[in-house]
Amino acid sequence: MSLIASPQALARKGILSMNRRNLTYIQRFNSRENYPKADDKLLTKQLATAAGIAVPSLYRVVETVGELKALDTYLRDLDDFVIKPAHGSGGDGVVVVLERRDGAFHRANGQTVSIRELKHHTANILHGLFSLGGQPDRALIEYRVQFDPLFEKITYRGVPDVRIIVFLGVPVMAMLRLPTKASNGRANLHQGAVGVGIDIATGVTRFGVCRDQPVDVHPDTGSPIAGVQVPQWDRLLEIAASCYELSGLGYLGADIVFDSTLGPLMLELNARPGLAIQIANRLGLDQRLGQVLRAKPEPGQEPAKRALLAKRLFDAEAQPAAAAEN
Amino acid sequence: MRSRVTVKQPLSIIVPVAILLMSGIGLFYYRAVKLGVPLVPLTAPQSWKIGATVVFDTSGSSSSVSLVIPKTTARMQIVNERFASDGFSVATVEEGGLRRAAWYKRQAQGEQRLYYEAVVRRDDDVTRTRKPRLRTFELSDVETRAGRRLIRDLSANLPKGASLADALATEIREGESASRSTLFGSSKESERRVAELLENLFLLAKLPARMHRGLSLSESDRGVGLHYFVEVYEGDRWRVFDVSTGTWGSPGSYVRWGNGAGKLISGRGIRNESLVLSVTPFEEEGFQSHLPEHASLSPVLSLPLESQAVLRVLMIIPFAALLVVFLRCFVGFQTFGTFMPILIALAFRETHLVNGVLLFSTIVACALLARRYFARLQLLLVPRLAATLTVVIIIIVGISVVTHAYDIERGLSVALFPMVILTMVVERMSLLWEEVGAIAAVKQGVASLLVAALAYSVFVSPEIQYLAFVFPESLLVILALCILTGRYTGYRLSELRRFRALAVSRP
Repeated sequence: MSLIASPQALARKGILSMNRRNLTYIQRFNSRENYPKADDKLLTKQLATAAGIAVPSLYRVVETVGELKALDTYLRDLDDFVIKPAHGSGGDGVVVVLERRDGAFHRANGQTVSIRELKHHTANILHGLFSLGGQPDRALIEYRVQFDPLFEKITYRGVPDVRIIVFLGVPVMAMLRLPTKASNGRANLHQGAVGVGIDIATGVTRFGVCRDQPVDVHPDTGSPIAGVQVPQWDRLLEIAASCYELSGLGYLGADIVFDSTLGPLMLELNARPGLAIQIANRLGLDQRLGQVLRAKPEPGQEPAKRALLAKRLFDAEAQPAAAAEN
Repeated sequence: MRSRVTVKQPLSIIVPVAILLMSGIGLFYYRAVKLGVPLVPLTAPQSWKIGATVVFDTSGSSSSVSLVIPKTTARMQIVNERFASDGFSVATVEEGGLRRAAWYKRQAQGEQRLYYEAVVRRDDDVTRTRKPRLRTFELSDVETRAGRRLIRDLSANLPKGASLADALATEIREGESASRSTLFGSSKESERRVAELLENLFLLAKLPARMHRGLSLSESDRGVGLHYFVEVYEGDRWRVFDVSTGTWGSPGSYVRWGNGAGKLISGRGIRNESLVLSVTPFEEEGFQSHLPEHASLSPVLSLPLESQAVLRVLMIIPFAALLVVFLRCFVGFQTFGTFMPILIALAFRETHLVNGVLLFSTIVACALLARRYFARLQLLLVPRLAATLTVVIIIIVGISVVTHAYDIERGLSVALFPMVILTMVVERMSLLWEEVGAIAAVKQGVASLLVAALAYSVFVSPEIQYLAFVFPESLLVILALCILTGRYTGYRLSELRRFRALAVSRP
């Protein structure tokens, strides 16, 4: 493989560049006033609940440092939970507690912490350590998603999630994110998780990428990652499509997890989703975004209808025909 | 709850870009071509600060002091003259080919000090094309005969291509021949006498020559004295012989002071007068001296020198910013903060590049360690930030003291803002380190430094400094380029690498 690709080769494949994503899509279709609906996880949850979209339940919001004294009271009835900043990005500042034993809390990444350390971490969150721009923030204590044993073979100590890019309400590309040892149990590609492309039409996984390199097996478990069928795929597509109405953002990334009892839950929204999804799918976003624009989805359409549109537009088998049509 | 999606149509960039480019390039063309403002700085003329301090006693009655001061010549410009004294009135007088400063005070008591200071600017572009006139020498018959003999002897022994003037100068200054003794006769071998003899001998040998007294510019000191110089025209150019040091130099190697004879200070009502001279090389701010006279058509150049010094830095910042834009949008560098590298580069101006990078790296590394320790202490965020900032300052003070103790010059010209920048960098780097890992943190740190180093090279480039300062319309062009780049939707160099696997077709 050569050192770099030529711009023409990339353009031919419809690969979306950062500059183009920022200028042509994000600036044009994402209105600044809607950003908080994705950036503020608390707001996202409230909007989702009002719209009937399932999300991990919120136990408590911690808003002031004064409340920290009562943190043990808040956590008294909980054995497992997640503490996260309302304005965090990329999994920063998220503490996942799996169980509590003898006054110590066992975290998903293997560490054991005391209540004091939890209070310290929450204080950091409140002081804005993890928020963009260092603004004071709120801490959310929420339900810990129990991961579906379906993904047991291809994940390492964490909950995999599905990231779906939604443009004008139409899901255009999807990727399964698998935590690894390197990523400390986080489903974050920048930290070393594996991204697996999912065929939009069928919900079956295809190939994977880890740190911008193609992979076929999970680096820690060694199991193959292709050919896995994501359950309730149509439901997932609908949830993703409805995030458009929820947020008013024309270009967004929806993160959805599977809970073993509750099914798909919408975890969070991202107003500036990254471009690695293209590597995971080995497909260009720009091409698909262009197809959506040409298909001119109607503003009042039902999310379910838009999900169907996506399946039709991006059907892998029909691709050559669709390309010829366009 | 439905949210509204609005699609905003951008304004066209054609109009602002066209206006900016046309006015920027148009003004540039007009000034560069029509008005002839040079595109590169002329060779920097050199400048020196010269000074004279006159100390004397007074007795209570009126005192007047007159000091001979230099005159502007074609090659050496005397500017920015300043006279300082306590209660004396001062005026400059020109008579008999000499220029003087005349101080006067009606009632002066006790010891008095008068100061004279000026800037000497040498214009190396001055060339005299006419062959100078040969004046007649002034020697007695005895001297003439001895002189001719000396010249004959020296010429006979002169290797081909060697300079007669050299030989004569050496012989007269320190030789031991009989002819030399005859020439000096019974007079003292003072510098002045040597210079006079040399002048006339050169003339005798049909070499145009002139004797002068002045301040040598190759010395840099307080308490220097006036030397005697003999200028001689040999082999199609002028050369200058410094009688005191016995060295040869070019015509610009000294500034004439006085006319070669007579005392420099004279006065009434003064006693025990003494004169101390000083000369130091001087770096002039502002580009006034780099331009031919008529070209000062930039409004910026007519500002006072202090303002020019500040603007000189400010006006380059847009160039550096454009560089950052290029590195970000076309190459794909990820740095800590968009313009932090520019601020770091501004700090590098004080410390220079290698020292600056070393300093920056050392401070950040130490501060990261400190921050690690503070993290384990489990402190609130803001006090922890303040603690890190204080540690940064302590490190800087430590480095200052150490470099001073070991006489390492470049130590620290400490500008205020890098402290805050450094603290922010340390905090962001620690976070990145903890959350993502050492590799990503160091990568961004190195990228930030690299961008800062490149921005630094923009700041110190004399061509860009000149361009920004003498052609401020270039800023309009920069603005246009920024706007144009704002619409660039192509790939970054880093993406060409990142997505290279995708360019190859796979089933």
